[in-house]
Amino acid sequence: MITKQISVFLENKSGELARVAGLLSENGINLRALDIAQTSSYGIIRFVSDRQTDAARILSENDYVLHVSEVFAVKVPDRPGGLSGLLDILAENEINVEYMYSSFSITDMDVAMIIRVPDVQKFEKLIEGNSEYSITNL
Amino acid sequence: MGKYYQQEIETASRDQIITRQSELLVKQVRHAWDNLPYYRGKMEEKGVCPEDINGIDDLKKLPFITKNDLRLAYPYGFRAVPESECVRIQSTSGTTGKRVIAFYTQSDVDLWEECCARAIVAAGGTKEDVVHVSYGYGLFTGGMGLHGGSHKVGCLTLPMSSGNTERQLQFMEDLGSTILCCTPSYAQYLSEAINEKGIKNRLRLKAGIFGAEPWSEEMRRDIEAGLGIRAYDIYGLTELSGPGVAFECSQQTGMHINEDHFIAEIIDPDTEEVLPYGRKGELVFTSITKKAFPLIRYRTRDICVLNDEKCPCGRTHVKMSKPMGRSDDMLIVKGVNVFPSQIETVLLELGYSSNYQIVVDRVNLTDTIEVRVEMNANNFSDDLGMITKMENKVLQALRAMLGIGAKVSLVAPKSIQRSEGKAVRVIDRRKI
Ligand SMILES: [Zn+2]
Repeated sequence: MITKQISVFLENKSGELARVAGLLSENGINLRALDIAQTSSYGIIRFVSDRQTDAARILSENDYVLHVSEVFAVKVPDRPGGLSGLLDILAENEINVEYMYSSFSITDMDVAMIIRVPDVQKFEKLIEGNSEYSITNL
Repeated sequence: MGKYYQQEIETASRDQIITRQSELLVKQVRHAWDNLPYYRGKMEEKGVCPEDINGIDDLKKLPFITKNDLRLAYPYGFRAVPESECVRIQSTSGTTGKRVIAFYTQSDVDLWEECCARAIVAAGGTKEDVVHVSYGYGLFTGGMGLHGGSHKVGCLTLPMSSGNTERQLQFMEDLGSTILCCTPSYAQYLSEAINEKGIKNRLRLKAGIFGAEPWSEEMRRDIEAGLGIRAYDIYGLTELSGPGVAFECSQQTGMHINEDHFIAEIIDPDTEEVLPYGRKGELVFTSITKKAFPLIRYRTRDICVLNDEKCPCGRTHVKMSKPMGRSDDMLIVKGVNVFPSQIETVLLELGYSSNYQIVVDRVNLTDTIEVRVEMNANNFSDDLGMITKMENKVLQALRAMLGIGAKVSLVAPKSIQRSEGKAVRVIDRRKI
């Protein structure tokens, strides 16, 4: 189960992120996960929401440059070692991770890690064969 | 040596000057007709032949030469003598398509150096002076031109070239440089360095000859106060010879054009109509003594005013104002000619849209150029490292094209202002 993530190009100026968040909330779109990567002059915000198709349309209509990519949301139990266990499994199986970030909580107890990997199939197979972690949707 | 380098010609009567210009023009047009098939073609196209040119009044019958003509005829199309007669080339900055290579016979070099010598003498130079040449040497005409002029005057000439400020100051102090020749922005830079080190009272500088770059009266006052000198402007183009086409006298109210070598006209850049003295327009030069590279009615694209009022210095040659702008979109950044079209070519080749903006500024006395490019969906990827790589790619391509470093900024789409459907391409924040 693949999650569609939207990446948006932003100049690194104050108020830019607020504008994007405002646009989404005005349209009743709920953010589920958000990450920001930046240099001194520009940045990329990556997010997952409850209505990705609408979010992409609205941002495009407002002249944002965006890119939709496929990522995985992996449910991580809320206990010590929950995240490091996952990282260990990925390392043992030599799975490269381009980036990962945490979602907002998906239940009262759990969060998901949003993970972008180059080898989608290998990753999917590995997690599906594992009893402790599962791929979820947000 | 007195006030003038060549008194007879520099103070000749207007009649004498016009007579001389007429004679030389007739000869030069014949020379071009015989030896420049490209220009002959332009004359034929206009239905003019050398017999139609009997004096300066016939100048307006002749076709113009533009930078584009030089480009089309590159590299030999405007060389009017056999290579064996040439002893030198000089070249403008700028890359393929924009670069001009000018050829010189020995006589061309001598006459050019005499023009520079006049400028040095007008700035108070005599054979007792120590001329510190901090213009770049090499293909650029600045260094070689003033160097040659300084030799002609008989000054001790320091061929410093540009850069290495420490060494510049050391030589200035140890050898007692009296006349500094460089770009005005470098003069400002040196002035700051000198004042920071507190060595001003150990220097013997009295005058400076600054050109190759636009500069303001404010900058002049700044340099004069900072270095304790008189600062003189000098004008020239590689296409015509180099610096020394025109130079300032003690009055500092415009530059005397060396009219025994160059005929100046002012035209309306749109209608190409010749305008009277006092009107603002594009400066056009006809080179009447150059043998190897004789340009007739060359459009400089510099906007200025000619003034034929009598000058208290005694020189009778007309004066040109400082260039007030350009009739094309060329920018001069760090002394290098930059055309927005060059930048556009780079961006389009790399897949960017033509929505870009050039921001030129002067920070800490150094010109900066920033190219702002709108990000577009085709170029955007989710990978930050990739964007930085893209930025570097544009940066390198611009450096290769322009020969100077530019800052590249990827900006949000539609964030570059458009006016009347046309983008504002250039923002020049320099106060010059
Ligand atoms: Zn004068």
